[in-house]
Amino acid sequence: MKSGGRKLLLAMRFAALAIIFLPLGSFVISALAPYPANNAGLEPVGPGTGAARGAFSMAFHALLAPLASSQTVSALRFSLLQAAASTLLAVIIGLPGAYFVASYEFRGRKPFLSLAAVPFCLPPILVILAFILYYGKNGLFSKAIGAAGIAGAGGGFLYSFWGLVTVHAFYNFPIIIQNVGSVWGKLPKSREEAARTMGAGPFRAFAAGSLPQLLPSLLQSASLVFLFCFFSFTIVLVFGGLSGSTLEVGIYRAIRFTGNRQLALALAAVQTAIALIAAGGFESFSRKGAAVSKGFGAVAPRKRPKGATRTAIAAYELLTIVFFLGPLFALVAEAFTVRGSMAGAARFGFGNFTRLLGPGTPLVKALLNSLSLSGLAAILATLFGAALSAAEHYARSGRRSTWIALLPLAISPALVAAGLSALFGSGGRAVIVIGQLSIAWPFVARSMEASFGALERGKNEAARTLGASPRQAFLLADLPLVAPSLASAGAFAFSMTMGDANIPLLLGGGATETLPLLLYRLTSSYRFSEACAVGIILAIATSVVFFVKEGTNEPS
Amino acid sequence: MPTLRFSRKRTSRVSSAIAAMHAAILIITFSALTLGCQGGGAKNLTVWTYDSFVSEWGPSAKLAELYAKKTGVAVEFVSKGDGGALLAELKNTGAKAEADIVIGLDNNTAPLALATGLFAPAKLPNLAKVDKKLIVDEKNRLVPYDYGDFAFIWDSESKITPPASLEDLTKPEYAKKVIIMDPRTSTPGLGLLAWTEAVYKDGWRDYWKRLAPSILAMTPGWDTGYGLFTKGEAPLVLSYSTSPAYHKAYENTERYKTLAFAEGHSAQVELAGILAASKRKKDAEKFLNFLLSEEAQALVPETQWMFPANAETTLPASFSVVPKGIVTLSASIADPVGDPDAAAAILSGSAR
Repeated sequence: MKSGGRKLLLAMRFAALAIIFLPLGSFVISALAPYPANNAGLEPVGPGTGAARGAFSMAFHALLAPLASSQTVSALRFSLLQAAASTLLAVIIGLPGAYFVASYEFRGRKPFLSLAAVPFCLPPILVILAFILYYGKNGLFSKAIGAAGIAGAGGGFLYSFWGLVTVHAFYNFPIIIQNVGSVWGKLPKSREEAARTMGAGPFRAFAAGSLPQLLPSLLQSASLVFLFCFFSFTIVLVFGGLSGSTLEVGIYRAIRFTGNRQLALALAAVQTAIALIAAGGFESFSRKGAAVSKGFGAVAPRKRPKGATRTAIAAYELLTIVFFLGPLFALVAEAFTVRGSMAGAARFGFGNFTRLLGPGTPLVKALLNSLSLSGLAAILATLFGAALSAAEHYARSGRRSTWIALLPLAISPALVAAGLSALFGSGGRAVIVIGQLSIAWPFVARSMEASFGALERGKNEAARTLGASPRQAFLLADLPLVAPSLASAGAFAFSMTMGDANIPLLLGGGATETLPLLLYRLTSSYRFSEACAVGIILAIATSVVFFVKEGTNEPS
Repeated sequence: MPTLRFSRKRTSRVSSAIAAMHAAILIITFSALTLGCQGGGAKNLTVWTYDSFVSEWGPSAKLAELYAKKTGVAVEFVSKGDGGALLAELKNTGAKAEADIVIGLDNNTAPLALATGLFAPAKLPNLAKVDKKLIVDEKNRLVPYDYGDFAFIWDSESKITPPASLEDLTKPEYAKKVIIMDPRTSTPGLGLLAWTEAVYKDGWRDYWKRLAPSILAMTPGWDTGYGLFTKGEAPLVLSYSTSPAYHKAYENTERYKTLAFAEGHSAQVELAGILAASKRKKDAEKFLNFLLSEEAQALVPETQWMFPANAETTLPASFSVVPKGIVTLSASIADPVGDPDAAAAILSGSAR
């Protein structure tokens, strides 16, 4: 397997790096090229070497100056702070859920996992609307607690630093539950039990026994959440209130508004450097811990909870329904609220949906476009990400780490979008698929890494001794074991591609309308209730995938 | 060599996996079939525009249909994303842009756009019907096709009295009651900035300091801000004077009202232009002239929710709720690169 495996690994790595760096490279070229792309637009710079050289030194100064400005520094500080706080809160909320999901079999466990990625299929505007519809001044939650006589916190909380952190945490805590929960479920209890027999209490036993083995997965999920929050754009600007600005804002503005691509490059360099440090730090941590996760072996099946645990799980589920699903319920309610009757008041009805099924049936077309394009992108992303992860795992017996998959997570989305645009121009459905594929594959690769890492070599080696070729051993021994995680990662990739509006917006030329793009167009033309209707369709389409996935998951 | 044979019963897990694989193959085949279908040929007159222009609720489809019926020329609208992305794309591709016309720049981005030298002067008879105040470029490289005043919209079902001027907005009774857009990332935000610079001149920074306590949220785009407003988060929002017309037309309500400030408003004038590198300049000119005709301009109010540039167009009934006689100021931003950052910094500085 060695030389063939290495060749495959190198080929996969090359492909991955190409996907990552082609858009980036095209952006860098567009930023550093002479006229007309590089001037800030106020003075035309003619062609010719003299002007080009002058423009280059102008570019150089444009790069250095903003790096030192107080605005960049405070933007960086705020980006880090809100991402760190959000991650911490997400972990705190998510850990109990991960524990329950890993150890117990309870009613609602499957739906619990299925709804995890629904927020990711909803474009940020809809997440914001959902939160407002629920927690806002006239929101369902605020009205409910007002009716119960509890004085509301006032709508102001949402638009503060801690409001932002809370929204981020709610948006992201299911990642913790899903990733940490799946590894926790495979964790052998032997060390913890040994600690218990030696007299340690439950928490101490956990800290000494299971926690070290759990830490890599925990840190990996936390790093994912951190990077999501670090690059967050719309949600930060809306809910962060006026507490601060992030680097992504500066980059977005430099690319879209002032056409100052060198500035965008400079800010993105700072942003990526920090993100890579964060990612790299966690990476070395998880590499140390990865060795631990080998040889997990068989685990005891999940048991039904009893007594206090049962109450705790029920309470957790209730809290999740109230605080996490609540905004989604509010979205559903809004989707079925039809305004504009002759009486003037809003009433319950299917009007928002039927209006979208009107002439041209934008809803149906968008659904088909989304399913085919985003579905294809998700499948390709899953195959590619898993293949890369597998290649890393099998070719190198020592360190196994899909560090390449970390790189795209550290690059500004606005930059990638601009780069893809520069590379491909627009129009063409194939371009949309490629663009969406490049968003989703890193997540698949990262989550498959944990699964491959947890594979014990026993089964594979047994198959080999029985005469199987490496490929057969993989297909028959290892693949069934990682298949659930593969399905899980695929479902997650699907929700990401389905929920992406940027790629079709920038690269689609307007002709190919996906569900999120339809949603975006609705919110840009006052039609917020109809946007909620589209959001529900989107959420259902994504959840269906999760239910199908779970169907293949449970052992017979 | 003995081969490996694992006997495998058809478990439900395997069946589901097979079903999933079938679904995957179906999706791949379907996509492959449709991937090849790319409309449009090189012979169409190509217009680059922003996304809401080409959406179902925008004017592009009807415009193309009307024009094809009149002249037989096919016009293809290509969206480059939002307004900011449109300009960025233009600056990036330069003379290699595969478009004949660009629709969707505005008075704020016009200096940057004109500086690229990519636009050619156009001779348009219908331009005579456009109000002289809207003309941004005397050489007619960029011509106006619609415009709207920026204005604060007030929720008449809220308990507050409507303000009557920019200065009123800074009063303590409006603390955390105003939603605006970010001047760094949105055109309404830029419009507000230009508005304050026109009214307060050099004192605009102090005005933003006084305004800061009134701001509930400064959203990155119009859609999030207006969405918050219609959900009742705040009773005042920065938008266009024509916004109530939508609610009148589609929701049959006059709940949201435009506040006309006596001191005047800044406006957004949307512009279209012919690219100098186009090989079909004559055809492009004809289409632009059509865009300014009453027939085409009549489409503007209820798709763009802006006023048509052609003053002789009849407005739809829904526009009766839009106050007439709003004074449009000549407003621009002194330092387009530095001022928006300064304004945002003033707001967040005061928030601490």
